[in-house]
Amino acid sequence: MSSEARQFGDLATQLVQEARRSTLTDTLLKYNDTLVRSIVREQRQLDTLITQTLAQDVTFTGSNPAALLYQTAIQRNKRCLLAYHSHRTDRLRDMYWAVGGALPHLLANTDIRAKLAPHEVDYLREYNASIIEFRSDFTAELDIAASITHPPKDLHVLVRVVRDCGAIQTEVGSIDFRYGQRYMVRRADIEHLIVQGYLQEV
Amino acid sequence: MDDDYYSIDSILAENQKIQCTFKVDIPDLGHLDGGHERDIKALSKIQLPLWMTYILIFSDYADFTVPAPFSSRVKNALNAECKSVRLSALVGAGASWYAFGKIVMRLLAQDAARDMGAVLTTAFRERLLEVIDQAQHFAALGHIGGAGQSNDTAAAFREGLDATERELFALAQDSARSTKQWYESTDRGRR
Repeated sequence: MSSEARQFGDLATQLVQEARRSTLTDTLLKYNDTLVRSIVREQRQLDTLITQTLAQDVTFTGSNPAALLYQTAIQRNKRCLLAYHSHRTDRLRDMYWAVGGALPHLLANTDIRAKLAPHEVDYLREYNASIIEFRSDFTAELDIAASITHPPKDLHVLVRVVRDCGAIQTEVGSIDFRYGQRYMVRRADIEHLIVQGYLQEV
Repeated sequence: MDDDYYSIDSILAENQKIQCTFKVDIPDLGHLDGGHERDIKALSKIQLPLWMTYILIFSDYADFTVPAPFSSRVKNALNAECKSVRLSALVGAGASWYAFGKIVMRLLAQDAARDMGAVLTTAFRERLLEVIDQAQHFAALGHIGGAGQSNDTAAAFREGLDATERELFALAQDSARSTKQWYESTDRGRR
């Protein structure tokens, strides 16, 4: 059996260390599907071991140190798995808010998309749906996706186009934003384009 | 460091090993030691990660010895001059001496735990001044330490910082930088 070569919980430690590395370097690492699967397999093995140990223990008196140790290892692995996943969802939510809640923009980025597990994409979609439902009650009064680190000082803003983004409907009609041009526009109309990096404030 | 269930730091801190002396035989688990014994025999000494030891100690299957980073030798050194103890060398790179100590405290009896807590907080408080002082002046003065210390002492102290102190050092440096930036910037002409 493979768990004899290594110590219980070693794989789980690797997983948690990956989460820490991700925090330290402030990057999203690729979802480690292989490692997660190996840990889940280790969990099954441990479960079998408990069953076996208790089956052999015919004179069970409520105290069986071996079974207790397997149980502790299972709980440890579970904690590591949960911590890894909660660390990732935290990161994903941060990324979601960093682009002002523009999920299609986030998922269109192939670099990011390649690092996500399928169920993480599902998670983001459902999270997005919940946010949209919450926002819909007061979209006219308040945009909760707006930046709070740099509060706007004017209603209008002078922007420079850093990436083509096509025709956008504004209060003065449709504007076709082309690379290199400058416009004076109403902030509320193009706020999301600044956040997503199409426009730059001058 | 917090004790949150999902805290990555807390999980990694529990990977530190301590020495346990078993009081009972446990069959088929000899591999925990990395050795080739089939079973764990009573009175055998094994290095185990902390997370595995709670249950053994609380169920009275094993005893533990206070790990070397918190031995009386280290305590005496801290009493003499806590700034000259290299915490990072005690627990290994990237690990937190304070977090380790906090966990060991949980395993100790009440009086011993209180003493240990006092050692941890005193060391932290007395070292913190130097940490922040050096962080504030690190960028400005290059490699000269705070409070007119010589170059070497300051550098040695910086190398001896444990993970918690390193984090605080980086934060204090950032804060000094942003304060300077804010102080030198003006809101005029930016609207």
